[in-house]
Amino acid sequence: MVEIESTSPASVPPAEVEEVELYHATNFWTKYVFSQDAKIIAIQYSGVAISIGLVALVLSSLIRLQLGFPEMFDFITPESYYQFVTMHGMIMVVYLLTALFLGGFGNYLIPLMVGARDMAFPYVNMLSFWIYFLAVLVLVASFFVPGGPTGAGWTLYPPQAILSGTPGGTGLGIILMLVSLALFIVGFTMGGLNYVVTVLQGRTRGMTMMRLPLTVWGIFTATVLALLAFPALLVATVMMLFDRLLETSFFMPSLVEFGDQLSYGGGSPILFQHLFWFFGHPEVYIVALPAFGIVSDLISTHARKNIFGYRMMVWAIVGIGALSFIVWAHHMYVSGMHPYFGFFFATTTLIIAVPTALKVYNWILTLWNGNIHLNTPMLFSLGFIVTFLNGGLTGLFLGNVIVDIPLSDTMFVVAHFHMVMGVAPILVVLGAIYHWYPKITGRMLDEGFGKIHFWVTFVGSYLIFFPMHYVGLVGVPRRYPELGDAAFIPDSVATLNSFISIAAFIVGIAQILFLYNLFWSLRNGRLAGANPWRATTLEWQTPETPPGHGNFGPELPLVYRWPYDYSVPGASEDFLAQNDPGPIDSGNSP
Amino acid sequence: MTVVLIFLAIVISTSMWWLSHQRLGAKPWLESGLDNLDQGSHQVSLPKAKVGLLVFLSVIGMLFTLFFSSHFMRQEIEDWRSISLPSMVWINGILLLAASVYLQSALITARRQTLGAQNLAVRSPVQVSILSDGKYRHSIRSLLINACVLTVAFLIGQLITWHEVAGNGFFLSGNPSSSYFYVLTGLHGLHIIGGLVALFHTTSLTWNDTQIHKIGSRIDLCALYWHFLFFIWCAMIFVMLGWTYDPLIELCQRVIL
Repeated sequence: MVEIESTSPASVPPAEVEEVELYHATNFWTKYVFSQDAKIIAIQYSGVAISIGLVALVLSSLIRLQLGFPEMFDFITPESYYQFVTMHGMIMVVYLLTALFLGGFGNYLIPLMVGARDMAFPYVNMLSFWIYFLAVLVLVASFFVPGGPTGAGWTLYPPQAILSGTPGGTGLGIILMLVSLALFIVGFTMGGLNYVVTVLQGRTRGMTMMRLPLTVWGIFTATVLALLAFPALLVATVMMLFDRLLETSFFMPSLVEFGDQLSYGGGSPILFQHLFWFFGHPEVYIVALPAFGIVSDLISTHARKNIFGYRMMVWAIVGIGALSFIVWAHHMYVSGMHPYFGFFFATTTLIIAVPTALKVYNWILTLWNGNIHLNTPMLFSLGFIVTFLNGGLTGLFLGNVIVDIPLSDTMFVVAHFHMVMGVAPILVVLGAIYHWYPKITGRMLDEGFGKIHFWVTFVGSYLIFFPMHYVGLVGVPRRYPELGDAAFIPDSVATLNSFISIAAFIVGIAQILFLYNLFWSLRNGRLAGANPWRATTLEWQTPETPPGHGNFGPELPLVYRWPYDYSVPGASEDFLAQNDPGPIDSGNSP
Repeated sequence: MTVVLIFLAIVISTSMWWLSHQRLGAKPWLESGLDNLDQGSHQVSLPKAKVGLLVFLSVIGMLFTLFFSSHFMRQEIEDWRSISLPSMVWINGILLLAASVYLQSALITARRQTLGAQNLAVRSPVQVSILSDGKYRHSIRSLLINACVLTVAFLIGQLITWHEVAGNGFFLSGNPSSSYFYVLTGLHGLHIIGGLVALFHTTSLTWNDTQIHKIGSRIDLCALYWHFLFFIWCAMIFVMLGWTYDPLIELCQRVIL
């Protein structure tokens, strides 16, 4: 580690900008319920997201019950199977992962990591959570309306989504789904404005953009993506609501249903697909970029090594973000598009592999010769790298038009996207919870439980999704509640399906262990202290643990260095925190 | 999706331009200390509410350009019948433009007061408060009220336009061109109503003891929002008339030739 310049704290110039006045809560309601403190909002966001995520987990078990043991459970009809699949997908992608990464981790980590007292607009931030909560309530309500929730698939393709053949299509199901999505987008936009403006304007002195931890870069870029991509979903949602409620024909062609000519005419279902995937593809990176950022910080901290190629990592995050807007139509290869369009989108899709691969190389080079501590957060991070690589490789198959066409709508696709944006980000979420739980609660999560949780989850996920690739390759289509006696499907598929289902139940049960750990450690966990992982970033340097209102005590920290000064020779410990002026006596020690 | 991609390219290149001023080529692992502290350039020099509004406007811009894109894509299907807009829309345009102009002049007045106050403050701080509260507050208030009235008039005008379009036989569930007309103008109207809430609040502040420079920064936000919504309104009318709207082309030809 070469230090070119080191300024003593005596020469700190006075601040040019006044401190922001904080809102101080006066009673229980404004302190814990309608709180404007980003840390409380983060916990609220995470609590709601994880709770609704558990609902989606139960739904996935029901799906696996049907696929693994068809005709055994009477209560799973084809209609309810479609409803389970739809709600499982929608909840996991939007209401769990997006809300948890941006609303949960974003709210907790951005102000702490950039050295701010709170978000830029705390009141709007509070509204953001409550609108999100309302969106979740509307979503949950759709389970209890006549006809049940929508069963249109998480992509909600028209015309089937609003026709009587689809569960919830002519009832309230689809309406509540669309309303809930619209609410989610409004709520998210409010939060997203906060995350972006706080990173732009709220950084403490000395915290340049190039000194931001990669976690903040990931969440920041993902938020920008989400702010620009979610409007596409909103447009699609609003137009579909009009089609459903007021009989406009934005997406609906002329149709004959059960012998009756419907009043629709001339609409374009492909238009919906364009709008949906213009949101849907960036959504993959809205989930992946925070995971990339968090995993970089976890690896660096737990391998006691500076991140390899920090600049490249930042550029790659920004590059992936920009590229993610021009690949959407690779979800539509079989929609009858012009072959040249397919060629264009296949090319951009493969180009995006370059910055992504660069990140994977940099993680591996960070680990190289590092002092790797194989604790739970590190295990989850390593699990992420392997899983993301696996999922990414099958992405190369599906990104090519000619390979995608036979594989389209098979279980291969299901296995691919579960690996790359299901299992991989969830592994990061879990690793991140093990990493930051000590800061949030002041106590460590139990390592023994943690390691069992990791191995069952990690190995179990592979037992679920590796065989699923094979099931897809032999041609088993997705979205079929039962396969029947199709000649092209070998017997091994049924055996494998049962096997996958049993693996899925075991992984599901392992999550109960994790939940138990979360609550058990709240009281019985080892006391963590301020900085149990000896990490450099600002959230670990707060005077109180958990951080108090206003985060940093009377004075905001000054940032003297980047966030990855680990294994520094000559430092009193093996790291230098970002607000550590460094060894002043030795001055410019090489 | 061309329109969206063009808008997105503008947003992304603006962000990239800003990022390129953030010393992205720095080697942070070689630098320590507070050396870049006093430059002050690492933060955006605008107030954070304005940055927030600019980000929000790019989201709204995205929303409307997506609608425009889908409009163009839908337009290419044969059953499309272009809607004929009543002449009322031009009056509405003028009303919204006038509101925008009033807000801008309120902003200029507030800025002039702040500048004058700063100049005077050097000489005698007591005089400032007397001057500012007297002359400027009154004129800012009347300018803001004018803007409010014109905007409300615009909304009423839009309702009359809806009535006329419906009278011509174009209903929401008819041809998609009229569906787009109602959805787009309705969405635009909703944004105007949201802005009006903020503008009413700002106007009410002129009756309080709130300092003029604080009101001024709020007027700044309102003015920016109004200009943007006027711009969106123009784009909206342009999209709905279609590229081939003859009177518009004639007008352009007359202006150019």
